[in-house]
Amino acid sequence: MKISHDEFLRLAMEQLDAVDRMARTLARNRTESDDLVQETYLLALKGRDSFDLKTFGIKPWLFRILHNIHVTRGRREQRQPKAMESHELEDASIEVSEPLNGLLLSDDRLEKAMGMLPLELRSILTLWAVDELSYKEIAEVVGIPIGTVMSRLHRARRRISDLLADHPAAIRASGNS
Amino acid sequence: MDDGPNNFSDPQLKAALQRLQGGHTADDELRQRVLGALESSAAKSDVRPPRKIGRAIGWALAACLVLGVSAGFYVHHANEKAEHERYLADNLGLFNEMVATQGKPAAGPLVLQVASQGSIADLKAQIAKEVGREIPSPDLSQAGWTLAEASVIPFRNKKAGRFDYRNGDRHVMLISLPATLLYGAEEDEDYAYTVEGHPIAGYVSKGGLHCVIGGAGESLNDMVALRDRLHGL
Repeated sequence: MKISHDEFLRLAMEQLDAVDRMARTLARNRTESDDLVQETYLLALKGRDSFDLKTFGIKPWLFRILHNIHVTRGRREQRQPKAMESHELEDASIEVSEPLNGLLLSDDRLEKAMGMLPLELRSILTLWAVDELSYKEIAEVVGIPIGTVMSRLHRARRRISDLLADHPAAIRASGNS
Repeated sequence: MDDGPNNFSDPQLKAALQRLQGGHTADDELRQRVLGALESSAAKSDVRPPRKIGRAIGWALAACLVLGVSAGFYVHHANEKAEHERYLADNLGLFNEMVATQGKPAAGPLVLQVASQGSIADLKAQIAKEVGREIPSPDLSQAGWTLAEASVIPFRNKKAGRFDYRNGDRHVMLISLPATLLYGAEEDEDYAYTVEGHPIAGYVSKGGLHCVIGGAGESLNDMVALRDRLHGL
């Protein structure tokens, strides 16, 4: 289903909060995240004709554009080598993580833990929890197999759990990754 | 709650993250910046499409033209080559007979020694009358070839006009046959081949096939030049 220019603008701008949030998750600072958001919308406008609302919701579509821009920039700056991680290796390392039932999830501690997560874990966790995208949508946004989405979610939760428990090794590992 | 690797569920974590990040609102400055950029881009798009589309169409047309011309040349060349080979195959027997004739002295119902005759125009008239069709003016003197003999010879049970030219030790022959002997003959069509080492260049005109045949070692280009001269080109 193709949409008109005005309809596209309306739908896209409705997602600005989510896109901005994701941009801030990915970017190093406010300036960079604002640039990411603007570039995302400009690219989305250019690619509007190829967008089909039925096959891909506008939010996942905008996120995918945002993610692609970020990855492209990262590759250009050669500062995102972990984004090139082998999916096969990652899939093979799926570990089941325990729910965070027993941990006190204070916002401050959680925010700090999230900030210590590697970017590829942090963004997927946000897409799953806050944006409530399906695994399939997350896979399409990030450009990875669904199995990798699952493994990253489990790894993210385990890291969060370790960080919230003040697990020194986990903090070191997060800081090094 | 399912902790299996094929599913992921943690309502507490989800709720905490939603509480932490879910209330995020983009500030007005960013909203205005994005809207401004979109409007500006849309305005440019409104102006640019014809140029962009025109350029794209231009490039597409140019590419199509280049491809088309290239493909056309290729196809034309391939077709021409195939046609050329087919033409030779269809008429090889005829050409071989012509070459054989060129190597033998004229012998037939009418052999005219040019020295004892009148003008070349008279010779042409006599031969044309004898074979019953038009023949080219057999004067190649401007090209350095002297007409030595004119004759009417039998060729595949038809009457053929034959003109033998000399240029020192070199020898070429013009033979004029009914065009029906040439397979696939069409008016004003010409051809040039080397058969058994002999260059052959001929053309079809007014029901006649007129062919210049050089001795072995003569160049095909020279025969083509003589043919074109006879043809009045």
